[in-house]
Amino acid sequence: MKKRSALFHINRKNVLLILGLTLSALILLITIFSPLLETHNPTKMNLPNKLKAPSSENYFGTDALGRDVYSRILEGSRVSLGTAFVVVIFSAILGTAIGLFSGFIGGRTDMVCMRIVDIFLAFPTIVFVLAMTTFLPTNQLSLILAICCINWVRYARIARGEAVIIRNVEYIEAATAIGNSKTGILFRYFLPNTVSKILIMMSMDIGSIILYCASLSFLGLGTQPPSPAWGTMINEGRDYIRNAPWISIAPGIAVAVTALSFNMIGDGLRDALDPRMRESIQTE
Amino acid sequence: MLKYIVKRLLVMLLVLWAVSTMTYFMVHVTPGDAATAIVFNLTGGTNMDEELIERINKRFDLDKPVYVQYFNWLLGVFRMDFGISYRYNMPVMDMIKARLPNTARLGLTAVFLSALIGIPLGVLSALRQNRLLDHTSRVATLFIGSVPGFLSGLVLIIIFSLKLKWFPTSGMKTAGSIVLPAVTLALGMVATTTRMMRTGMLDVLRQDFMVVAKAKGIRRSSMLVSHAFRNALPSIVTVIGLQIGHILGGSVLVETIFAWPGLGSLLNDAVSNRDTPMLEGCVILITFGYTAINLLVDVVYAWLDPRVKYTEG
Amino acid sequence: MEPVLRIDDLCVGFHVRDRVVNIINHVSLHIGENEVLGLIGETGCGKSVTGSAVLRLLPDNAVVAGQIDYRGKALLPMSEHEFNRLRGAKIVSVPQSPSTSLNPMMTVGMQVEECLTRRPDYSKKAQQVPVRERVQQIFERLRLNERGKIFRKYPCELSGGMCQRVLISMGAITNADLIVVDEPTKAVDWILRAGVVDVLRKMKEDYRCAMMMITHDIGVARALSNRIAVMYAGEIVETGTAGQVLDHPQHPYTADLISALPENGFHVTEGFMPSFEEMPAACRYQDRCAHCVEACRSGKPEMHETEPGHFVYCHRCRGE
Repeated sequence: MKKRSALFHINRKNVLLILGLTLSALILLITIFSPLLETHNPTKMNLPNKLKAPSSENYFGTDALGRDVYSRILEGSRVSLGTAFVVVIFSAILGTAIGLFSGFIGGRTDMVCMRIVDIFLAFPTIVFVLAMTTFLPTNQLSLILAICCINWVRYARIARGEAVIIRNVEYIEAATAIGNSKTGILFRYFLPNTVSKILIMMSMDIGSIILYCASLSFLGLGTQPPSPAWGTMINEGRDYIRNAPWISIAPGIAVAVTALSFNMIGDGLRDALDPRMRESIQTE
Repeated sequence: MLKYIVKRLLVMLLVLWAVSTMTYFMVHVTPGDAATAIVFNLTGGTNMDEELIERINKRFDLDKPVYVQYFNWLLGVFRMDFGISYRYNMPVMDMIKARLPNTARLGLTAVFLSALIGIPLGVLSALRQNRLLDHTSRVATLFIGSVPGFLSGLVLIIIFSLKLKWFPTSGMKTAGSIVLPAVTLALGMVATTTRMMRTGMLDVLRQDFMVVAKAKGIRRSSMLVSHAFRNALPSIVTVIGLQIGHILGGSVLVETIFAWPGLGSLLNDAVSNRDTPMLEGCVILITFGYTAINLLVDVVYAWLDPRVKYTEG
Repeated sequence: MEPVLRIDDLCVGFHVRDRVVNIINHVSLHIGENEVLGLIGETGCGKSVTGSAVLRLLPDNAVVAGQIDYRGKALLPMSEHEFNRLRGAKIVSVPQSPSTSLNPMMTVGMQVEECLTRRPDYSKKAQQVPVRERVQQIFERLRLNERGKIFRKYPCELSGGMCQRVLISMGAITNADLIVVDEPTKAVDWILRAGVVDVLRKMKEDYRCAMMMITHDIGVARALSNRIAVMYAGEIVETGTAGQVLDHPQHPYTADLISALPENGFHVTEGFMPSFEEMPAACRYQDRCAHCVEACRSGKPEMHETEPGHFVYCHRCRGE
């Protein structure tokens, strides 16, 4: 689309975006090929070998049960990233559907839906998820479900805003008057615009969801030990922080780097498409 | 203006009611568990006597129909009475009252720290857009914002508690105990604060009236304060409001790591112990606080902007 | 006598992506003491850029060449500090778009008052009349006063026409020599147009200042200007007294402009002004001009004085 390409200039300003994309792609590759990259069995205990500092044998040392931290991080990457992606995609789909529906229908239904969104927004995310887990079994699926239940609202808001604009905009009628079909306008202008806004939101969301998942598994939710979720690993390492800090620090850095690379994409995208960043020409 | 406040208050009441109800039903989906949970806590899981569970069901009206229980409970909430904690065997409200000031202190300190760094940094970044300071601060805040709270907390503990021994690792015993938890909380917010402040300021700086102010030849200080900053003030208010929201959620983590005796760690305990009344009390009060603060922020925002204050609103 | 403002061979371009786009092309003008010069032309021809150039308020990506003299003093080479003493005091602006040119969070009274009080060279003691009183007087004169209450009102509480008059007050309070008025009637309803014109006329009589009246509204230009300059595509095509230019237009563009007025038959000209990035060489009006000849496409039109004081830039006027 001509409009879209005019917005996107690859130059020094996009360093962040390109860096983020590269790093994220690298992390994704590592995650996918993690079984091949693991040096030890992530769940196999090896007590004589416990609490060893990082070495050429164990890149990130071993934990209290003698398990190789490096391999556990790799194993955990699949859980962490997989969860984050699933959450983002599902909450995006759910939220967008509800938002579009609400915006298009308008009237009473719209008002009720938006009130419901307000109610969900009143809960801080972690508090909501904690409350939900009381009646859900403690496994990764519950965690995914709980986060989706609160995360859909941010997509609903955007989608509903777009739907309202589509409903109200005057030049649809004008364009119809000069011959363009209503569906044509819908597909050529509005849907791409809405889709791009949702996609940007998703890219910005992945980073925070990764952090939320790690925080929640740190608190003991989601998949249980011995399954190596990064947050759980960090929690397990707390007791050994004095003499074996690598048990917590290594997975912590994994979380930080992953979140960082996706945040770079989100930030970079937002900057690249932000009209404020472009130079303005004034000819009057 | 008054109309605006009243309207928002009504919406807030609706939200509060809905939040309480949702919480109640989330937590009470399996009523049978409540009695079992109580007995578990009382006896340590060793003596799960059927008869005991029956008696407890009767004692706490747990065998009455759901809507009756709900109604009684709702009345309780109205009177700020959340019942007795299963774990501590004390009124929930008493425990919450004891811990609330601690969370408040921690939160306010963190907000203050974050604002102290974030607001000036954001403003300066906007004034020197695309120059060295701007790029550096944006990259730095991006990095810091990606570090999860528990990691930064642990790192801070390692460096400042264990190695340097400047601050205690946990608890609330000394005056310096608040430093590490507050800094950890603040670090999580400073990225967003700076970015929003920067964006808000940039929005103001490119407005027409800024050019007009320059055309009038007024002093640069007046331009920055009376024109730029005054118009960016609503952004600052929004930013602070957002931070407070972050604190309420983030405090659960930070308080757990630092064993800070506040509402967040209380909530976490309640989840682990399946202490239903405590869980309800904490969730509802935290959410109420969040809603009330958001309302306050919106009202202040509206009051600051003459366009809302003097028109219908 | 030294003109208040002399613009000589002014060129303004803007850095866009990786090139410089030329907007203002060798523009020369002058405004004498107490004289109102109407700068007219269609939207987008560069009039406001010219005004901004005089006020040195162009955006950072602008490239300026040429000379602008105020009472003989060259403005462009001046330091920012030195120019600031002139700008807002001797050379002031009445901007367009009242809805966005006023600070929404400051009372209109303060916004006028600060034109004097917040300048670095302000001295409270040197004031014969307190500034606040002066503001009220001006509001009074511009029929902007409900028993003194307007001072404390915010822009959102006033109508568009009232906001426009606030902007004019900001220009009036400084006793400036030169006022650059940018599109005073653009944001105002047709019915209120006459009111704004009245106010400006009053100001001209009361304050005896020179004005650059930038407008696309020919009626306004006729009502207020002593002399008129016609601009097209970043170039001046014709200058002269108001009567000369509007009643006996020599340049084809001016003639087309006037005949396009509703009262003259609404003969709309074909085509659009070309984009600044794709400007034709030689005469910029060649593609729309009914009298275009070979010479128009090959050489830049020169200036001809068709009657005393009446200058035209057109090949067709050679010798006629």
